[in-house]
Amino acid sequence: MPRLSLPVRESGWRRSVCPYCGVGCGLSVRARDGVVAEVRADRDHPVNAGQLCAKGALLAPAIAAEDRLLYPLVRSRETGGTKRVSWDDAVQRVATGILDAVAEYGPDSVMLYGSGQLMTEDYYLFGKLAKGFIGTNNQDTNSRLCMASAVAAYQLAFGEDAPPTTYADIEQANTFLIVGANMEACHPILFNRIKARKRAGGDRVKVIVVDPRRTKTAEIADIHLAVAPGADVPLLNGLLYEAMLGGWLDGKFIAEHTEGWEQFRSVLPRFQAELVEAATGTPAQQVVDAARMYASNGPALTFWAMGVNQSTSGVDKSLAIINLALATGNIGKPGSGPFSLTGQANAMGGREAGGLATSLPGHRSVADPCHRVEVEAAWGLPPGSISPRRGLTAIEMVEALERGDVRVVWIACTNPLVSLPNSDRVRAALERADLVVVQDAYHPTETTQVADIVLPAAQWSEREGTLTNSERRVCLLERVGDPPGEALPDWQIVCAVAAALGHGEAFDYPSSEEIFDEYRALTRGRDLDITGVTYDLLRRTPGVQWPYPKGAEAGTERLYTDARFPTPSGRAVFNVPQVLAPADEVTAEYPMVLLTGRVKDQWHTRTRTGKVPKLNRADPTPFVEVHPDDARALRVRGGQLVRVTSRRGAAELPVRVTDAIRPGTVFAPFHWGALWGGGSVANSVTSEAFDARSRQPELKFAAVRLEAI
Amino acid sequence: MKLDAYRTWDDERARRLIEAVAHLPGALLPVLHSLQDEFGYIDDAAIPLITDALNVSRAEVVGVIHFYHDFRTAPPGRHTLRVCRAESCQSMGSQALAAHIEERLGTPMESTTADGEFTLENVYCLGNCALSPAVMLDGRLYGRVTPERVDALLAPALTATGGAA
Repeated sequence: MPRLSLPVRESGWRRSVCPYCGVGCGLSVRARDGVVAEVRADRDHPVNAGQLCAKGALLAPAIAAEDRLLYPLVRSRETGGTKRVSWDDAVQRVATGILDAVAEYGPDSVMLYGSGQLMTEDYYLFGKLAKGFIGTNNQDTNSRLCMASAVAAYQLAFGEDAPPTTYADIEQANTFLIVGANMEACHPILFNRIKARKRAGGDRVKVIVVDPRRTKTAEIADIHLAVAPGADVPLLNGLLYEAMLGGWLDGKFIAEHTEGWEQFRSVLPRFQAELVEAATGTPAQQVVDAARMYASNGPALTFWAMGVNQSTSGVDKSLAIINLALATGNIGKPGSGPFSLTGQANAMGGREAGGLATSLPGHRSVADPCHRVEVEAAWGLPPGSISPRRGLTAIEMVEALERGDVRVVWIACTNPLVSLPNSDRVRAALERADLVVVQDAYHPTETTQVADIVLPAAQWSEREGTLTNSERRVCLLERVGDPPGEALPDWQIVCAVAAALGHGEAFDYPSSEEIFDEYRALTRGRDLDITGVTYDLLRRTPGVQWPYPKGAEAGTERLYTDARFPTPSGRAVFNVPQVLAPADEVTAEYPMVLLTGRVKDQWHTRTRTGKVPKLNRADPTPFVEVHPDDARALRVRGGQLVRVTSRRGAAELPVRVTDAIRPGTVFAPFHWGALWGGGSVANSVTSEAFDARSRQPELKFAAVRLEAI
Repeated sequence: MKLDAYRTWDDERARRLIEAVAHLPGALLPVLHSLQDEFGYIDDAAIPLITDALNVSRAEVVGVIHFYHDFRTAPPGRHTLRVCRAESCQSMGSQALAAHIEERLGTPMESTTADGEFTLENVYCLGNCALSPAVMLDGRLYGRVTPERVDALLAPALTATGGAA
């Protein structure tokens, strides 16, 4: 087995980036006795300039948690017991499982499911193994649950999945439109930058928040549009229509740099403010005021996140946001643009390096024959090696397991039994697999508990690698400490399995740097060209924003500054968003709507943050937020348990009564899994219905009923 | 009348639907009805399937589809709004009402909005002459309709949840 180089004892201060959300705050970290001991905000980093949220500041105790996975384990299906095995044994078992499935059922019986927290080098190698050498495009990640809708919308509107904006736009924007994003909790450092801009800019700077909940983000808003769940498209179209009536559109930009305007414009008259009020529950006057604020106050920056993306019409909603920016010329200029926030540290890297079921490295598509040939050549494979068929996405993986089409699942760096919708169904589906391999830094997690083979992964601070944050900034995370026990970097595990499958030569890398070099060569001439980016450059800088081709002297802060778009016509495209009903129907039996989301001090499924006592103080238990009117009708008080039941399952959660939510709507965070205590898993209730274009599931809308217990 | 109720076009399914009624005497109309009930319209791809199954000419099939106003050749919007243009409604202002609807929905009568939300159709008498002018939205009849009333009818159809929850 490959081993890391020399163990690290005392490290000096090293450059790193926070591994939690997609903001990508710069850190300075130092290890003692081979374990990261001190984490500070990097004062010179352009993203956070010395600021840090509690999660980032408390990384050291999360990494040093007692439940780190130290050795490969195998589990007996008969007894349920696990035993320690050697790496060679574990890798051989994984390889045998894959080879058997491929021989009997074909390569598409294997599925790799990764995470937006993998490093770019890991994504790249997982993809190379699956798509190039196993011969299946069944490689997807939990980023599917996160921003797949934004990706599809960017591609439809601009021709490529390239977020046009940069964080520095925050300090130059006059109006912020924040749609379906609780930035105070989920992207706290960017939220601080918005607050600072608001303080510095005085009355000139305005904030509009669109959210069914009055979150702490909404509390700083000049206008809070408390939209009915699912009604975002009518509201956003309404803003655009009012802006048009006000004469605040940028007619010159529309005429010279866009296409599809006439067709889109034709649908707008029915989104008159009064009609929008009836449809969305947001007062007409607020719609008119917000339209004026957005469109006639100088540069406007729009942020959006899961409240938009996690929907069966997530692409339509994202397109409605982009349309608003295009029609007002808010793109390619300082302080403006449609800015999709990514939830995880390296969701962007996965989009770039071919980590999704439809993509190949360098923003390439498996459906494009030229792209396949280019990648085959780079990987030394004969033409025709890469399948032209789109692979399975996260939810389709569950369906394929149920049908018996997928027999082997290899999960890395994620905990789908807590994060995927309809978790009981996911559990049953995984139990049908012939082999479940889970690669994680911790054990037990809800998902490692059902694995046949558990592989110990090194994580943040214990290995080096790169990631890309939400503003296209590629950063290097240096290694400061040693992995515990026998844990290995994810990419080394992939190499070991590849070698056992007989592909050792193509997966022979002395370090992650060589993987990065191979990957960046594949970006040559692509929109995200990073051929000029080396580990050496990244060690000397706080990261650089792509594109950064060979010979470049600086990164690219903002895209489309020349109003040229990578579409066939060179123009940005207005797509007509459809107004679609959420999949789950609200009926007398299920009269309320459940929204899910996050709390400030927890991260995803609590595998790390749940281990840090200080992070459990604010929200020590799961909960469901209920409006006082609904609480009265249900005869429940704060703290009392209620059963939240949907067509799929139920969760028992203590009530928090708050008027910060609309009557008829309830909210529960999704962080707490079955390990915390049975019956409190929010995702037992949520819906796996997904957007037809992005295949992102509708985690944000489940018809439910509540009952006091 | 909601699009959700219709399946997207599927050759194989269409073939089976055609076979199921092909034995009936004068099978062409039942075939067209069952296709439209299933898919919401009759796709061009259905025509060769029908000519093969019923041994009739292409001209016959196309002729029948175009003769009957109710057969559609393109998918309808998620909502269908029919506006009565017959004598009684005409005399009570259906002309102006249709003009308002066309402006509000941004598309002329006998067409579908660019976002596939509404299909506008003219009809000649909904049998509701005493309450002219009349419209029918998704199969439901409304009488004495004013422009304001139309706006109010359209609002819930703007969202998913059928209006503000």
